[in-house]
Amino acid sequence: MNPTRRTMLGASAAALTATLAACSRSSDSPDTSGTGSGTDAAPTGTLQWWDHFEPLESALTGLFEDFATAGGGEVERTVYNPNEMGQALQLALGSDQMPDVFSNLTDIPAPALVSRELVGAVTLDSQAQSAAADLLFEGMHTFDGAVYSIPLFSHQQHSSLTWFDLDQVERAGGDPEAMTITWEEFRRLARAITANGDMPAWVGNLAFTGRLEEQIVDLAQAAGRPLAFNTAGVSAPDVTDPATGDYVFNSEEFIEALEFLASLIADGVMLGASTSLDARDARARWAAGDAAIFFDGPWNPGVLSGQFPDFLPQVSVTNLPSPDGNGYTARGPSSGQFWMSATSGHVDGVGTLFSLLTRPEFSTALASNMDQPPVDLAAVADADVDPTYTRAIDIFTDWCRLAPSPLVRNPAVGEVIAQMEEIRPSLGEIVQGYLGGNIDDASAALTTFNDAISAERDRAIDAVTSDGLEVSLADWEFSGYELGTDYGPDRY
Amino acid sequence: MATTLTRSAPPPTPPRSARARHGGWIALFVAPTVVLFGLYTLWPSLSSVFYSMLEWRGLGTDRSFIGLSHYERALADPLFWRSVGVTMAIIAVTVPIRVAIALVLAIMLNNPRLPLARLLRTAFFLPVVATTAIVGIVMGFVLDPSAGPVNTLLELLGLPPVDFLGSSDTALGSVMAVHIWKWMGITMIYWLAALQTVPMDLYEAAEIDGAGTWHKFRHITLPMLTPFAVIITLLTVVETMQVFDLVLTMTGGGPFFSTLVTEVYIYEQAFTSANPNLGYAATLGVLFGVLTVIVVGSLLLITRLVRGRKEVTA
Repeated sequence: MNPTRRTMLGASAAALTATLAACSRSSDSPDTSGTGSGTDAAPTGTLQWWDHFEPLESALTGLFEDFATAGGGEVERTVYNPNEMGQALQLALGSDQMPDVFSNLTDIPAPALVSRELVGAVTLDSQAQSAAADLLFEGMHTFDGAVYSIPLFSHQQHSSLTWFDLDQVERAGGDPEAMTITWEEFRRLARAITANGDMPAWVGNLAFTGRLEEQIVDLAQAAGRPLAFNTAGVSAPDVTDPATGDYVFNSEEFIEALEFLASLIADGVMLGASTSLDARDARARWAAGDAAIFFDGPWNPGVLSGQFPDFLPQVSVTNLPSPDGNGYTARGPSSGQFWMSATSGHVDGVGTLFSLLTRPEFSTALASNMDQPPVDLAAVADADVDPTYTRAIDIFTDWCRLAPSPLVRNPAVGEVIAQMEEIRPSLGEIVQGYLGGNIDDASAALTTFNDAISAERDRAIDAVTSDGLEVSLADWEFSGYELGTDYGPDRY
Repeated sequence: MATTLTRSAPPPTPPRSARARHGGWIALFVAPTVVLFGLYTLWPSLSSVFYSMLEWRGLGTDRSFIGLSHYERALADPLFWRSVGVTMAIIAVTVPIRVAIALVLAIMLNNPRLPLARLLRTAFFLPVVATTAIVGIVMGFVLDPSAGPVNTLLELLGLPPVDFLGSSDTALGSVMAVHIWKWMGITMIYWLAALQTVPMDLYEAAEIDGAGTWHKFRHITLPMLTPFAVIITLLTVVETMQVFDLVLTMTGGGPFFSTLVTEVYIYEQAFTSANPNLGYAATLGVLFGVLTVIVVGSLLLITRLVRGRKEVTA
């Protein structure tokens, strides 16, 4: 039978009615997701956990199982691509669907998270309180004495380790056992590898401006530039000169570091595709044998073991190149990775979970993932990890230090950073532009950037102080600090 | 001679109850369109104008009304204007090429004597239905300077490799080429539909009069297609302004802003900036909407002026 217009209309009306009915049933049902307004006094349903740490699967799964066994209930974890995490949180906040726990990829500093009432305080059990006592900084993890987050990862790390193909380096006459390498040694080795004809020596991630920003900061430190960092992460507004409190992106060390990277292109040792590769693609090309050397973080063996297990035994690592081989780097205190949403209805459950995060067993499980190193580097010795990961941690133990943090000194610094508008081209974009031939005068571009970001901080300080907070340029000054030393909690 | 003026009688007025019933049906059938247009076009547009006047990071409840400050900032924002320039460059280059090549393809495929015409139509239309994000990613491999098939071919021909997407000299051209290839099929379908409206009698009459292929195209096809050309060009312009997904997956707006189209810049400000600002992104969105209206309006105006001049000349 051919449907008539009348029967079609009838069918459409029936379908619409059914859809509306289904919608109303859905919205009438009790919220078992644990999300939503979360203002219920009693926790109901599954605890929602969002983060972007894909390699933590096994460590967190074990933790959640322990939590469930102890009667804490189920935890539903959602892992986001780091690029999408901030966007997911924006949308969740706007639609009142925040998870109970989230990793902070919003670029909002910890003090601003607290002052804007986006996160809530948690209560750790007594064992966790004593275990975390030395790790927590007021203004970063605790606020007015209340714990909001705890650091999982060590500040002793960076994303510029020199990972290399053992065979290629040995054939080119390099020393695969060396823990450090100078800029000249690196260039000589890269030229020799390329000359052997199998592959270009180095693959960069020039399409990933965020990583370029980190790497130029690491290289500038390795060239001797002391820097203060608000946290263990690298973002240009957070990186200042500890002696004066000024931004120093146009200093000699930054320009030298940029020229070092440019020299790799001039030497013809870079894989041509580097200009359009981000870190993941560059790593894949390196593991596929398209290049011999790749700058990456300590998580490299963890990714290789999952995606390119045949290549892992051919790999070794040394510290990032530096002018004289003594490449000290430093980062600020590691911020907390997980935060409880202020709207969570699972306050006690989240407190229990955060307490479990401080256990030595979790640090060992964390190390076993071969991702970012755990806050207790000694836990790596007890973990079943690839020797290259242990070697990377040894390098960090020897060469990575704790930098002073303006944010720890005065939490209002976080409000200043949150107020600052992004300066474009950013530091990473300038590096990309110079290496890609779009910028001729690196020094002039860095000076323009430095002037602009300094002026923007001045504007942000004025805005914050006019709101009644007390903050000044003096909060960024740490005159007694020297690169290669630790700026511990006792020095604030 | 007496002149009798006659006036046709007005149609009988239906009874009031019938008119009301009729009006009810009209309202019923118009309602879905009105509701959907209101929900998905009008309301988001008005909301965007409202959000554009807020200082709103998109996180938390902090929103403050700042009037037209974001508009002042946008008008002085060099990256915004650069992105507008890139978007206009893409339109200026790809639209004429797309419309012209699609017309040629449509005329060829409209020939009933062409063998495999259906297969060729499908082949040209296939890229249109392919997911743009997938096309963008795949093109990254195809245009890879080290191991991509295009550069392998260049190497076989003894030519140096080209860093299609990694160099700011070639990235925009590469994106344009892929965009033309990807969307050529839909423009071709528009032209094919337009060609079906040209009566075959005209061609037959012209053939009897001894007209050749060129004369038939010049004096029958082109004049008959002119009204469609305006619509097809407008549709192509508007489609070309929406190149977000292709650019994001192929280059992300780089290298060094060389492919930064306005949509990608808006997305960056809303979500991926170091300090996201939904209020400012909404401002850029409103300005981009205004720009779209200006571009389309200008094209319509130019078309009317040209037509008017032709009619006066005729």
